[in-house]
Amino acid sequence: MILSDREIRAALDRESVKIAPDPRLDASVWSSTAIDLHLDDELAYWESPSVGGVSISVQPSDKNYNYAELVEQWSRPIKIADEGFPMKPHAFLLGWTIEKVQLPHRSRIAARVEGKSSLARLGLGVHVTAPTVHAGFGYKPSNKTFLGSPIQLEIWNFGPLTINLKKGMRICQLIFEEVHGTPEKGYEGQFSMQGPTI
Amino acid sequence: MALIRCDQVSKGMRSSERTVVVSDAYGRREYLRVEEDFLTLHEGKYWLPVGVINEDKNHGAVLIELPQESESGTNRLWAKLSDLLEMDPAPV
Repeated sequence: MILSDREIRAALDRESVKIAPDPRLDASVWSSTAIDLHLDDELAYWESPSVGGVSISVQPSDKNYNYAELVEQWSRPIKIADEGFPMKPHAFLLGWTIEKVQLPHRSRIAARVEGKSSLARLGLGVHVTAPTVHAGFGYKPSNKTFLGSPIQLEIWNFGPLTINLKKGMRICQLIFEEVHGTPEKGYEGQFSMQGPTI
Repeated sequence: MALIRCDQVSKGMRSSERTVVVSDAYGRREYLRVEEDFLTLHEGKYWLPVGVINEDKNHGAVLIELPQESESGTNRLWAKLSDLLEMDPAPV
């Protein structure tokens, strides 16, 4: 069941969900079933990996896949200037929300990040089929002052227009859903010994 | 709730972010990109907050849920009990 604005406020009040800056202070970010989030000023993109000018493919299912090395060698940061960053047609960028979010494990609330229809009509998407924010996201109970983690966006421009991205623009919306029932304890409750003995 | 030890911490895709590696009980390495302030520094090592789903005391293993999907697509994994800190009991 999707939470209404009233239920989202109640979840914020009882700290089943935490968002910083606090959306309760800004009426303009609310709709009947979602909260708008804003784009932060850092973006990143992947440069196409190549060796000696020859393109190489990424092997995420390979057991020796080294993602840290991929980030180190082939990711590039972009800082959005005051005038914005012109995102070209068919470009793909990673971005982050200004808002930091926490979903405590036992709150029984999950969230989904979705696009804004205004941007979608221009051809701009904010995730690539991975909208779910699971319980536990940004939750660090050992530090009561910890604000949470920003939500990462996979931003793609599928249309023919160059779209100017600016820090603070409304980029996506967050929808909250109540989890029905209790999640299972998992895998028949026992470690299945298939690998080396620990 | 618990913390799992990070075997490796390296740069992320923006200044405040880090790429961390945690290992499961089979020795498989999982990569996650998280904000640096999400990690806890304890006795010179970085630790990642995780949820505890279940514990198998006979094998010294704990089923944990990562705070977000890892880069290989994993959400839950069996970790060695010895790689965890501050473990709360698994939910009943």
